[in-house]
Amino acid sequence: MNNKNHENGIDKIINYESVLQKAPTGIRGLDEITFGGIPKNRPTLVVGGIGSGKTFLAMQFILKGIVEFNEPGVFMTFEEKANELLTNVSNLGYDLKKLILDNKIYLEHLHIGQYEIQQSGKYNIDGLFVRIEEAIKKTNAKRIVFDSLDSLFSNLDISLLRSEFKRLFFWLKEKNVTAVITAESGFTYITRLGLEENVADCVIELSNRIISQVATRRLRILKYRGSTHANNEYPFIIDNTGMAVFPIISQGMNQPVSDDRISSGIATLDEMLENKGFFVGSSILISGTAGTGKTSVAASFVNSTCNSGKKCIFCAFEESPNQISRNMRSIGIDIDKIHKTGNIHFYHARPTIQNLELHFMAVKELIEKINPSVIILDPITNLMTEGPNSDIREMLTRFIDFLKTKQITVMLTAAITLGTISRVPSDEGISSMVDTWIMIEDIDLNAERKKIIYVMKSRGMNHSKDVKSFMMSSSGILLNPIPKNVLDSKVSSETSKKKNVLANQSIPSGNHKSK
Amino acid sequence: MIKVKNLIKLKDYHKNELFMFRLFISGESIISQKAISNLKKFLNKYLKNNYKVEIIDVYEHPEYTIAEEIITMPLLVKDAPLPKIRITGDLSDEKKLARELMIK
Repeated sequence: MNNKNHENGIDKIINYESVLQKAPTGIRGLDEITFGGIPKNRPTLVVGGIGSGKTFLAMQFILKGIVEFNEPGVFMTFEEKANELLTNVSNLGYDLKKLILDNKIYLEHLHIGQYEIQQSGKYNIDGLFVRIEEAIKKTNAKRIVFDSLDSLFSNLDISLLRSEFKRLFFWLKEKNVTAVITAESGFTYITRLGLEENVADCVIELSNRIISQVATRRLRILKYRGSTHANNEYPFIIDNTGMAVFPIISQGMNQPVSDDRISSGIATLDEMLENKGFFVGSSILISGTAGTGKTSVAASFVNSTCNSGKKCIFCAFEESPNQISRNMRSIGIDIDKIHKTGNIHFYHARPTIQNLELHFMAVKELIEKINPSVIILDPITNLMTEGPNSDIREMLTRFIDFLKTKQITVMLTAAITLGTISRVPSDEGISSMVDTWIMIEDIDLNAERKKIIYVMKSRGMNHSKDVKSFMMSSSGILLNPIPKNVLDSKVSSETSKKKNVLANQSIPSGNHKSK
Repeated sequence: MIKVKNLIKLKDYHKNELFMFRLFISGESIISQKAISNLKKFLNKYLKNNYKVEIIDVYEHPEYTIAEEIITMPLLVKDAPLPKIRITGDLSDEKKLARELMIK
């Protein structure tokens, strides 16, 4: 009998150690970088500066727990009054009042007026324990949030809290409750208390940084005891649908590929692409100097796609939709007419009005809604001004990956300056993420400005290597072959021009130092 | 404006008035028992029979924790005479207790 019990005990330990259970947070992206969520029945610490979204993350954890995983929750706040939280959350579209009435969530404000209380001898925080236990009983909670520890810590003795918190978390573990604790980062008591090292099994750090005047929220898993997790810092957003983290890994590299083709809308361009056009679900980059007709190429593509009954999203970051439709009339494309059929949707916004990530989110939402087969980003270079390029590339890669999983053909236009045109195939680093790259250049030939077009690369097809002249007329875009000897002389003169480098000006060093 | 003399008088007045206390404890823990015995010792020494104490176990009456906003325990609340005063701990610091409760 005794022996059997003993064996059971060992079994329990083995099972407990070998399988780390996880509680999904329901927050988009966060469950992916933690590979399933935060540790179940254990405490997770969320640290971050002021306004970094700690309370929001915690609230999402509780609300998603109720709505998606049927796990009731308790929200213990030391800071905001319960009714203030109510208004904050109502913006998210959750009916918190109903959830409270249904006993799915219980909010309690813990007022710590410790300054009103005098101390005489030793004490403990049994009062808090009783309140937590009562709260958990009320809703039969599986999730609990303490928001935030700072006010508790600023009022109580730290050495006491250390042992008390260990007791609290051990007790929560026994109750099978997953806890999220928020705390301000950078405050010494968290490290003094050793909360990260000893108490919390998982530590998530949030930050809100400003790069080039645009605020970007970021999230990082500092520690996850007993589990692998993604190490990088990931951007996240908070919008009216909640919180979403954007890990690159989420899209993966196992997108479907298609052998189907889609016409570019320009017959002579299709000719250069094995007479068939682009691959469905591929990414196409049209780059060229200002005024070469990139938008016109995009519009032709949209025109033919929409006329064949498919849907398009045109993301205009430079011109307004009205201006585009007026301009396109000059090459015989009637965008207003397409607009009436409902096949074209415009997403029109100035890139600088918000974080790039938010633009992509908005476009993604539009994609979910209308399910297009083609999407145009015109121009992509306008987005580049908006933050450091490495970030933008990362976001673009993620976005293009997303489109590929959906088998949406994407056409990007890029305005490049004359300086960068020198055939360095790194066009702001975006060329590697595109499948087909078409270049339009503006050159002068025999005292005449001429546009030339060529296919720089096109993955998976035997594309034409010719340089053709690019003509726009009221009947559309036409590509014509150019006699070769004319072009050769032109190219050699171009390269000689580039050798003309400005001499470095040396600035005289100042002798204004004080004696 | 209250003069210093009046303040002393107020203290004397307290001496004759009935003191009402509530002591919140959490079960039969050592710290709870300490608080009870320390309080009894203190009251008998300073207030003779001029007091009433109610001892409340929050494990049995958890509703008090919210009503009285209790976090730290044990907690002594002086309800009368006013002002209401809250003292937390095992009440082992006798001098501090006397000072805070304005007894002598």
